[in-house]
Amino acid sequence: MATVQEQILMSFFGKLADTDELDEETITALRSLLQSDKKVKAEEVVALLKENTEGAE
Amino acid sequence: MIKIESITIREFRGIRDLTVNPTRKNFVISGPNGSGKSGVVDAIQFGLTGDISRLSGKGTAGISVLRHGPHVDKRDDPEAAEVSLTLYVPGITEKAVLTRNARSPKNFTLTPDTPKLRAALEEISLHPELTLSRREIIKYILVEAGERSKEIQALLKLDDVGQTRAILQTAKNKLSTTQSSAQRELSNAADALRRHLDVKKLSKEDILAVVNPSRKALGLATIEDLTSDTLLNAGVLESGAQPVFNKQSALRDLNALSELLPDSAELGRSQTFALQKDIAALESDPALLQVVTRRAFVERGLSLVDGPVCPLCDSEWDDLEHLKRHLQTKLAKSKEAEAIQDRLLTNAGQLASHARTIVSLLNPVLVLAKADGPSGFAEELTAWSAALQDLASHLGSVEEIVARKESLTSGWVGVPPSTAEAIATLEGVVKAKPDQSGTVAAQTFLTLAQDRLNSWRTARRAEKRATRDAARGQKVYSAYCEAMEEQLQSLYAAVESDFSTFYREINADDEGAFKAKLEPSEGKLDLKVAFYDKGMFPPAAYHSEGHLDGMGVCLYLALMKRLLGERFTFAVLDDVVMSVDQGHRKQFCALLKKHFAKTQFIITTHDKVWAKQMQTEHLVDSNGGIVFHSWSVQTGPVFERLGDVWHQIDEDLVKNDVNAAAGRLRRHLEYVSAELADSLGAKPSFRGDFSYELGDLLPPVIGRHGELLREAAKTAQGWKDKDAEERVEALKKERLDALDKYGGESWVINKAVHFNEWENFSKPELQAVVDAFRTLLGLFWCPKCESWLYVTPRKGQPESLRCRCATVNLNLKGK
Repeated sequence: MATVQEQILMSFFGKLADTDELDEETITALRSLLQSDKKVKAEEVVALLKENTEGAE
Repeated sequence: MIKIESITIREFRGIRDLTVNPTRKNFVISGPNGSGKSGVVDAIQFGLTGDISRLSGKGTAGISVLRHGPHVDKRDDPEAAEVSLTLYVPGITEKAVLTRNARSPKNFTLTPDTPKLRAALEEISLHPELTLSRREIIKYILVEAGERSKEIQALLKLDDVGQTRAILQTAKNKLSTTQSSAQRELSNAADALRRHLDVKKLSKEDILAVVNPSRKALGLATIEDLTSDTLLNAGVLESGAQPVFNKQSALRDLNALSELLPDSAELGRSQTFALQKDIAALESDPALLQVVTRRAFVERGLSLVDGPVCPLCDSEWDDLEHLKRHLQTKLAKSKEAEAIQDRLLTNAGQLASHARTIVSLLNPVLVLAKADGPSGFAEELTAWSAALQDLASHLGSVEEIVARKESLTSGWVGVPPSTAEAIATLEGVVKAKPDQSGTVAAQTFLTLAQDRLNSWRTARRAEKRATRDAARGQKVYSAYCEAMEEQLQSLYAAVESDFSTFYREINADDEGAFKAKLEPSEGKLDLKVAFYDKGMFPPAAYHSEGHLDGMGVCLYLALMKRLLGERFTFAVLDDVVMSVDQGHRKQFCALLKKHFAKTQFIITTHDKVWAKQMQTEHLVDSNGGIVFHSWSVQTGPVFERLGDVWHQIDEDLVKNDVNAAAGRLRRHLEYVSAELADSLGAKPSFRGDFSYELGDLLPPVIGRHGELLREAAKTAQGWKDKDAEERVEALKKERLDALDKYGGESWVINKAVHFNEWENFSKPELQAVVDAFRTLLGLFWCPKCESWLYVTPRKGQPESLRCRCATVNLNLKGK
């Protein structure tokens, strides 16, 4: 039986997959970060969500 | 999860040496208060987790497992305090022996020691709620909604849920802050470009309308469209290393800074006023200042706690719970500090934004001052610009804000005293310069326009990126909140439904329509329950204490069902069932059997009748329990195992221990007479204090049994049921024989029953009494299903006298 947190994360990633705002690579990276055993820092999430390339004008 | 086969306790808490064998089944530990029951509960908890919750909650400062786990006579020898549990892990069908001693509570030996068994043990250590005491059930029911929310969230292991939400919220806020900063940079860049072009708005048409005349003046091609890579100065010759000077643009830059000066004292006034007020409040209360400045530090520390060692200072605590509570208390005290912190950061952020705007006005003037400013003016502007940038970049935390308090006054802008005069002088110098030729003016205009357009484009790209990042942060945060809300709503709905079902099943006779409502809201969890058909109310509004206890147990069971599902194989109910009233105990037993058949419950109670009822209701086996009679520091608990009372009495007599045998028999008779008086509906003389003694109960029980047999005989005759007549006759004969034997010993039985002279018996006298009672009680006992006879229904006219398996089943309902 999955824990409440596991159930929430499952639903959360399902919702993210349905959006256009995040690409699959970012979602995968976020999944691996949030499901890891280590303590997650907000700065790590920020780094994941920031664009690495120059955006179009 | 696990089940317990046996528990061996040595020199731990109040117990010297004790082994109990629950054999993976439900087990009841009964005895009066202070007889040592809780010592067994403590030992189980210690064995499984290395901790004892009773030694770690509120009011336990200075108490620890190491110092207070061992028996008081062994307090200097914690190694002697040892608990050994033989465990069975259903998920992997393996057994192991787990041993701990109080010297090193967190260490244990496991035999055999396999990864799977260790994993099962680790899971157990994450669930201290498997031991439930009365003070714990109350906290689910009789608490404020905010507290209930905390307790239930802790039980459901929702800490991780909240922590992830907080991390995503912080990330979202950081991205949003970056976006605000990028917007400000864009706004400043746009102002600079607009000022240079001398246009009201930066539309494509307006820009080209001022750029193309200059290009025409230089004989350059008109720009038809403005795209992301259009060069306004395409074709203009480079000016070399010299700064580009355009007279009209320079005058506008000077004018912009000049216009700011008269109002500079007003700029950020409300923010500095608020900042000063909050800083003063902090400085007048050093404790508050300390809490505010340490708040973020403590929050960080709390999120890192994963053991009894403080991650902030490396101090070792007795256990993780004490440490967590210590840090949480620090945070709880800082609610006021949190509000001040928020205000300080908001006002300082706005001030920093003003500072950056001034810097953006000041920098173009600095270029002019270096070339044509009065002596020392460029240096003054450089220092001013540096001071503002330094201030803007050091207002990000409370510590920094407080450290800068001297700068955060109405004069925070720090305009150098001679600035207005110097600007006027510089303006005069610029104006005095000969008008640039049309060619030079057009060249410098286009070159500067391109510089500022580049800055604006860079700022706009950064702003767009930051906006997209912020949108992603917001999306991630809101998706998590949505998922959390949906899952929690569904979880609470399931808990609410189970809770209502369980409570209804226990109280079917008078609250069969009971329902409850759990309403989660931000940081709160309201609980309302139905009170008959009068509406929904807070639990304590109308329900009795007994009912509230029942609710607590039901809510606990509902939560555990959701938390662990099939893995809910073990729980200790430490005196939590004591308030379930007599009329509902059968239903409570039925509830546990029906809904938690795979869960092993270790149940303690100080009510010996209740303990026996659990056996007669087959919640526990006939030998599934232990009765503690008394306790002393020297000996620990004096106890008796259930199920083998006659065997134990025989053993006492073989050892010539008449007193022990007499005491055991008396206690057994006291229990059985109370149980039978209840189950057969005997009518002893009423006692207002309900303190019935053996002599008050046993004769009415014997009499009632005779009445019921006579009634059964009469009914069988009425129905002309020959078989039934024969069965009743056989029972009546058995009764006569037993009573003969009982009557034959009446002189000595009277001494015992009516004059309480148990201790004065000789061994042969007591042996005769034991034999007589054994035979007598055999009349009321079905050896096949190991249950006492009872009449049904319990209320109203009895319709049958029976045992649980119906081996005895006499009809009492006539034609």
